[in-house]
Amino acid sequence: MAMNQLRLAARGITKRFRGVTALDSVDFELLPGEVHGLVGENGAGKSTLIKVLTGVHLPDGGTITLDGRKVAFDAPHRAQAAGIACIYQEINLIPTLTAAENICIGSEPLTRMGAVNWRALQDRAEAIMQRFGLLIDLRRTVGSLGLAAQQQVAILRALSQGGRVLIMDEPTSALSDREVDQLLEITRQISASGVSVAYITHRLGELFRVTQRVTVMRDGRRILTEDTANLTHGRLVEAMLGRQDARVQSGTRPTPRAGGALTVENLSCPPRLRAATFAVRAGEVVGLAGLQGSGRSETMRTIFGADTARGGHVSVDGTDALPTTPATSLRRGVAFLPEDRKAQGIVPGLSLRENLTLIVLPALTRLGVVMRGRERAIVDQFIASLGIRAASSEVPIRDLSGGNQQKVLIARLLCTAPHYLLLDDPMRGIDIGAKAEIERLILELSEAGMGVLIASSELEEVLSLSDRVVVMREGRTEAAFDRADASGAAVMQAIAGDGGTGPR
Amino acid sequence: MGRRHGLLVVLALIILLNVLFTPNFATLRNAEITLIQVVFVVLVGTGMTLVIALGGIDLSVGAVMGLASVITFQLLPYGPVVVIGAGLLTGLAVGLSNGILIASFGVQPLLVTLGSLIWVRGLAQVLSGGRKEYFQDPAMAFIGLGRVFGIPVQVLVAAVVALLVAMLVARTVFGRWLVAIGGNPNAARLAGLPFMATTVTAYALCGMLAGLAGVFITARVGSSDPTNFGVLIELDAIAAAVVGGTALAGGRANVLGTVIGALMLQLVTAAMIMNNVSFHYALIVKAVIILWAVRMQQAERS
Repeated sequence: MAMNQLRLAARGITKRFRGVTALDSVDFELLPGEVHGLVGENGAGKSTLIKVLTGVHLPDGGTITLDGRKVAFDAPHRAQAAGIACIYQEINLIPTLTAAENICIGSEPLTRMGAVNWRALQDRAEAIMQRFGLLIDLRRTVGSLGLAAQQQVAILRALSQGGRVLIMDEPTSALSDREVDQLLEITRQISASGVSVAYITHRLGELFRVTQRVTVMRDGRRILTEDTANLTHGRLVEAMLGRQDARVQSGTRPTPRAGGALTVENLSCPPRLRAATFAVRAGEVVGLAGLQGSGRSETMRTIFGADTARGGHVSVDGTDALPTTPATSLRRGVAFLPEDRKAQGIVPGLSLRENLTLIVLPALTRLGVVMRGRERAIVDQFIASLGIRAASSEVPIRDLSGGNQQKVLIARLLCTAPHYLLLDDPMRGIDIGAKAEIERLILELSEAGMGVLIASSELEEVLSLSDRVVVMREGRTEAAFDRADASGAAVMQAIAGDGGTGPR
Repeated sequence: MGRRHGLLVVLALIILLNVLFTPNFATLRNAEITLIQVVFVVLVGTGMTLVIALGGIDLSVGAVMGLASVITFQLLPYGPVVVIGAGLLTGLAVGLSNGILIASFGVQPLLVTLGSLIWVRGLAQVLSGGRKEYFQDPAMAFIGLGRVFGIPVQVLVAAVVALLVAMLVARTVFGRWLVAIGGNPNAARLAGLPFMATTVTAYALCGMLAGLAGVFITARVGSSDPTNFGVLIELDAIAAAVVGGTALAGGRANVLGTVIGALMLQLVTAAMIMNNVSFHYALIVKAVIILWAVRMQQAERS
């Protein structure tokens, strides 16, 4: 396709951050009026690509052309001025202003005296709204509108500046089914009016409903770009996860010991968790597989009490465990390692020691005063047994490598002698050596009788560690495999769903 | 710890410059006056340090001083123990109400304590009819102007209090919870830390220390003053804490730093006055120091 027939052509985009290559010579293009899906797991480079296209980052290499003209954005407002707009999961509107005001923000029509021409502002907002066939009460404040309506206002704002490219970053993650239908319809209308849409989502089904082409990214590279009509769920998942032939590691694992179990039944926490049902027995490692956005993290958070369950049951060793809070879960013997250790794990201003003993500190005190000797003893014990590499236990935790930080966080949980460990993507962003050590630790812990639930997108890791694999898709547990039956292909197929031959 | 060393160096510098250039500076009397004048900011600042470390703020401390002063006056006949106890209880009550509103109802600390600032002052005015009341009371005179081993009582108490709170922060589980919740509220929540108990305790302590400061200023001046006692001291307390290394964002509590910060600001102000510089210039210099301290904190963070 000739370059000047494309709305947007990004070629050879490369971006590096401090030695890490986030984008490796990525090509991405948009035809006029096309809806082009962009998918990939976390870390694949989608967000970085979007940031390059919207002017947040300057690429280290590559070119971008817009309607045939070469462009370079050194600031977001330049990209916006050029006609590239983006709506994000978080609504960046001003809740105290009306919808009309938000739509025209930054370019309000003025009277001759320089004041805002409210009549003209209202008219302009109405006109844009009607152009895309929407129906919102523009006089209401955005804060009083529902989420779906807020999103529509955000879209209209993005388009009101004469946008030619609209990037939609996971627009449906917080919407109900009916609202999703509405949004997809709006997307079709937008593209019909000539605007090109880059549609980023984790929900593969939506791709088949609204896109003409799909690009898959993985590890900072473009893996494939293909007409949606020629794609299947299976092929998409294969491109996203990258392994078709992951084999179960040879070597038997000791069978799980008799004991209690953590059982989950129809657990729901809308919008991302619809119905999860499975069990983790004492001494068992259960892998929770599935794409990002399939509800893995939400399942763990809801079991732990970090999010409030709306429905379903959880029982720990026979006792009903809902409703619950993090403190209660820890007391019951359920411990949770969050996905984002920087935002939800470490207390950056405190030392290794202080972070490690954070949960269990009351047990190390007498009359409220911390017994330094006892604290240091426990810390040294874990530093030794987990192989935490640090100059001393007093270093600020933010100076440690990712792998060592993760070990400290795991040690923090182990201090509470939990019966069940919920690990959310524990290997994310840590080096190979630390990964191996943590894997070994998980096996040791399960052999000692701990039940471990581990969520991950890395199939190989999940398969090698788990006694059973539970697959989640779009908020529901879809399938479960015993170790013996879990081959890479079978699990991938379950992740992709029954859309093996085309649109849902 | 490194932060504190830098501060001590600056403090030493200020003292040195004053010794060299300010008349009558290097006298024992002057040192004593400095310490006496800094007592109130140290007491209030110590409490403020706790609350800031949690990621909050308390604007009502000055008003608490005024209210404690009024209640002190009313209870003079019952002796110094009752008076001091009442001052502490007054501060405790206001602090509890602040803490509960913030922790239970999730109202922003700025708003809650701004409200307290207003109603507590109002209550002080109502209880006293808006009047200053002078009194003569030997026990109070001792609390205000007396000495123990040659050291003014108030200076001694302020030093002990600062030390105790510093140890509270450094050595107790409460202190650990305080900086953890302030440093990463999400992580603290997932770790099951008691948000409500820690928050209420921090604001209660802050209130109590302000109450004590109210009793002290009443004793020193020999009158109760619902209108003027404690006015704007919250700003001095915040400034002392910030200069002393307690970041406004929370997550750090440097009590001894607050003491040094209070001393620094006091010395700078006094130096200006003793060198016949207008009071207003002194305020500007104070503001510059505060801005510089905040800038250093930002640089440290990045």
